[in-house]
Amino acid sequence: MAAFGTLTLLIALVLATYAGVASLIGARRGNRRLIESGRAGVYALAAVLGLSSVALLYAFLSHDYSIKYVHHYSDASSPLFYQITAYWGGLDGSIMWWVFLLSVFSAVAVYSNRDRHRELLPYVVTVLMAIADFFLYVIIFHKNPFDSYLTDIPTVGKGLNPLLQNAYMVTHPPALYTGFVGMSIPFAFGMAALISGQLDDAWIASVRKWTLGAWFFLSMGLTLGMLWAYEELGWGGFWGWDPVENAGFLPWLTATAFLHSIMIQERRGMMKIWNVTLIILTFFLTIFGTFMTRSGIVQSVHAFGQDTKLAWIFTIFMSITLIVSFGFVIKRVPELRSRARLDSWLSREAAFTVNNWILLFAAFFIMFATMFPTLSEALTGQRITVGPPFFNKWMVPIGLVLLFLTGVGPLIAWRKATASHLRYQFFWPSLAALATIGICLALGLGVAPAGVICFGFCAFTGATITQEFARGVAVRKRNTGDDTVSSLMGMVIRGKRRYGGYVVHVGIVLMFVGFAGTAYKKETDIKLVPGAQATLGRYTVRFERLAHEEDRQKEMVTGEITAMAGGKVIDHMRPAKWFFHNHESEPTTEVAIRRGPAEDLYITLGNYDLAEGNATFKLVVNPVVDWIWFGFMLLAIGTGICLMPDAVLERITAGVAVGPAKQAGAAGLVVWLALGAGGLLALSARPARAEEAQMPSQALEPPMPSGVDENWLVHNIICQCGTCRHNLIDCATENCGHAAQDRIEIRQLLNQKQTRDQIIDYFIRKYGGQVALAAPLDRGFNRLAWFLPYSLGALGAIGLGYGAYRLARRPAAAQVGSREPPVSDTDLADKLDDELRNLD
Amino acid sequence: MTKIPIWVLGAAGALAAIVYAVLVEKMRLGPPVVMLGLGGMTLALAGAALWRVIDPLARAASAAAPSGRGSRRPRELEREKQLVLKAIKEIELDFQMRKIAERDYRDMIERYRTRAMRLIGEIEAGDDYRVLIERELAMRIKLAPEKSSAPAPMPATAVSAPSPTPSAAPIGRPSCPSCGTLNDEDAQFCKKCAARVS
Repeated sequence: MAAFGTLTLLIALVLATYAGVASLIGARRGNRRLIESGRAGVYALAAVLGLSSVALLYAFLSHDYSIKYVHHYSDASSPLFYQITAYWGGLDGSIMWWVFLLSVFSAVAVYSNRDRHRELLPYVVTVLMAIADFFLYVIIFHKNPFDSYLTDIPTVGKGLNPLLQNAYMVTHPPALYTGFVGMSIPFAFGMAALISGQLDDAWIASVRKWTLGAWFFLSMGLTLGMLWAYEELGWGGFWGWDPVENAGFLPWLTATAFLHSIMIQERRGMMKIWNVTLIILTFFLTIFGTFMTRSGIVQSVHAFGQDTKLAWIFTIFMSITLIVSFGFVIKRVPELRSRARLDSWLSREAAFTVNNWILLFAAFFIMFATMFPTLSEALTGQRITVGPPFFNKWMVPIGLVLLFLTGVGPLIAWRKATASHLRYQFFWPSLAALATIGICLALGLGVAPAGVICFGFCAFTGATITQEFARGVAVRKRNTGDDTVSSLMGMVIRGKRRYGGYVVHVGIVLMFVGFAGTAYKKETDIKLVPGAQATLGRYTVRFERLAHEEDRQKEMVTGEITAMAGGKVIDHMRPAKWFFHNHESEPTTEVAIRRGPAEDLYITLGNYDLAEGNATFKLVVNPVVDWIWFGFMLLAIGTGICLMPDAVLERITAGVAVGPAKQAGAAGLVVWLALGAGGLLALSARPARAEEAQMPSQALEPPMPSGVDENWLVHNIICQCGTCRHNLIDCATENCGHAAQDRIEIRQLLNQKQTRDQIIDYFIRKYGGQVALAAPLDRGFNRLAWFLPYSLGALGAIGLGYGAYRLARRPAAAQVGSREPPVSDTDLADKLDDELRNLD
Repeated sequence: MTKIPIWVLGAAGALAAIVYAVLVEKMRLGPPVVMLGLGGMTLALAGAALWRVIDPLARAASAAAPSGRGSRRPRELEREKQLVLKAIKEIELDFQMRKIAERDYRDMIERYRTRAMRLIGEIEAGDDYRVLIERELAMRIKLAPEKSSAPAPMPATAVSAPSPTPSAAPIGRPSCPSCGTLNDEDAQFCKKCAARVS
């Protein structure tokens, strides 16, 4: 099977090369046969890589341990589920999965566009096959998943890492890969447009749905990753700014910018250079993210390991990608330059431009901060850590600005907003924001100003979208005479891009509500004996007993807890630790979560003593965190509306009529609500399993932090167990021992009247560098981490302002010649009016 | 080979693989056999796809697959037209929701309507590009600024201007005496206004 698998990969490499070259030559020489043959090569590549995938899966299912990859990631006792998902469990298989997905997407894209873009398609094939060639080269010559043992063939497999043995393994990596690989298609179309010179809007219309679909899967992958971290890792949070998390977030930011600014190109013919740049950057960032996670250039719990040769291979490919792509952009700048101008900074076009800059800046900042430790080590020899406090300090204001722009965008007029426009559009949303801020302050939420501002902006954006729907329905009712529900359904169906986008924005708003809730998180670590109680917020928990059980696969230590609120028992919760056979040093953490729309009660089991029966628990109250998951469901529904084929919409509109339309309209609403509710139920029914560090050699009881300095220190020093990358307070219950020891030392040093800076210096000396700090110290080389991103952002803003000034002063004559001569045929005008009436 | 439906090929490949696994290799039905079936299906599809790679090269140059442009072009135009119509509706909605000033609204609507009418004209003309080109020329000439004293040259046939003399039309193609539309060689009635042309 190993030889067969390798043979299929070699055939795939030949096919990809042939298809790319044949298409390119066919396009240049106008040879239709070569073009047709090249296109068929794409289909053949998908089939051959399908064969490679089947071969690898067969090896897993038949326990063929002669193949090293199968031996490392599978064993006979693994459930079937995990034997299949082991395909993408390791580096070699994940790259093969990538190129398999690429081949399938390429085949679909080529097939669905076979009747359109006849000039573009050969170049699209060439670009896609070049990407496939790169990954196939990496697989065949460096990371072949079919590498086999020549002698001493093992008879037993090592099995999948227990951390990966959960349901999220099925959904999270495939979703993320689908998003990453999906971005190759719009990139290929963009490059084809640049290479061929066909720079009209045709390619944009083709790739918009692809980009939206890939963006959706990226969003899903990121959300599933957050859910996985929240339910499995046991530190009470969902996003740690881990390099691998950031790797998935970077292309999401630029793809979001692209999806918005193509609207401007379609409507006003502007931002063409922006759009090709954004799609190139998006594709580049998908490769960059892969490079980060597979080269060992960054430290992460998610990383596949260290591989310098692979790092060089990826670096060369990324360099070629950037040089060739931007080379073509530079060549085509005269044709890409817009003839339309920015009429006013108080316009939707300007708002989208600012939105683009901010998203691009956020992506650049995150990339820079993620790579800064590597940069620091390369230039100064000292590796530092850039952790959540650094990211949160800068990303919180950026996020708030983006949230605000999400509300402003739909309100502001095209071309130029006047004072009366602004008054009419902004009045109610502004009122909603101010009222919300007032209520938050009255409720005492002002302890976290960023949280209050976030809630205010959420209200602003939510009110904007509500106003859009309400006014849109009113206009449609006036125009068509339909009832409210029919008008709503008709409006959404006729304007699915717009209103689907609004639903997506509502989802984003709800997610921001959940993010803001983290500012009001309560947590505590407490050691309890059986029968003892602890209180956190409105909850009281009583520890009943410690249970020790075993099954075929693992040993389980479970703490049985009774949760109470207001004196009444509300739940029985069972946080646990599981020790899988052959992986006893890597216990998984079973988190117990009681979910609610207002807050979650979250309990994990830390240290314990089976003989004494006592245990340490981490209790966390997470306000409004479930709105993040619900927000994603709305995002999914909104994306579905945008992507829904017209044929399906026609079927729905057939049921939308005067009179009985209410039923059809209501039925449609019920379907959407059911989808959302079903999704939420599915999410809330998740079991909890995950994994963290090693068993401590002895159980240490760290003190609870008190005082400003101690709180700051435990939140800004990173646990050096080498596994979790969490700060000392989040890692303390994960049995690694390091965090507990460090917290004891901090308390001792504070008792000796040492200052915060002196304690920081102590830990720098202890660990031989700033690697223990969550954020680089603001001195020396590290100043770059603080200075560079914002100075570049400021320069960008100045450049933007200068460009706006130049644009605004461009003479009006530049507009002449960009317009088509009007059509004076009254017959055609009548036909157009008929068609517009029928569209209603 | 190309006439056999692809799903039939795939199913045949899957069946062949399963039969081989069960009868020849004496494997028990289970996940490995299912995977072998998938493998058989993929192998058959790969074979079919490889045939399609080689087939165009083996054909004579003159026997290249027809472009089928005639049937595909109207679909593309129709699709583009629908997008433009929806854009017009969106602009109208934005105007009624007071998001566009009236002057900008009229400007945008005019541009989109021009594009939409052009597309409708192209769809109606089908493959009759001569009609399209002449109509386009007529409109541009009408709009061209008068830069010299010499009269602007008239096109050979003007779509909107009546051409009562059929002798002005290209050889073999009559123009309608009523509306001036250029018709096909064998036309007896005008395709636009139904007046008799022969």
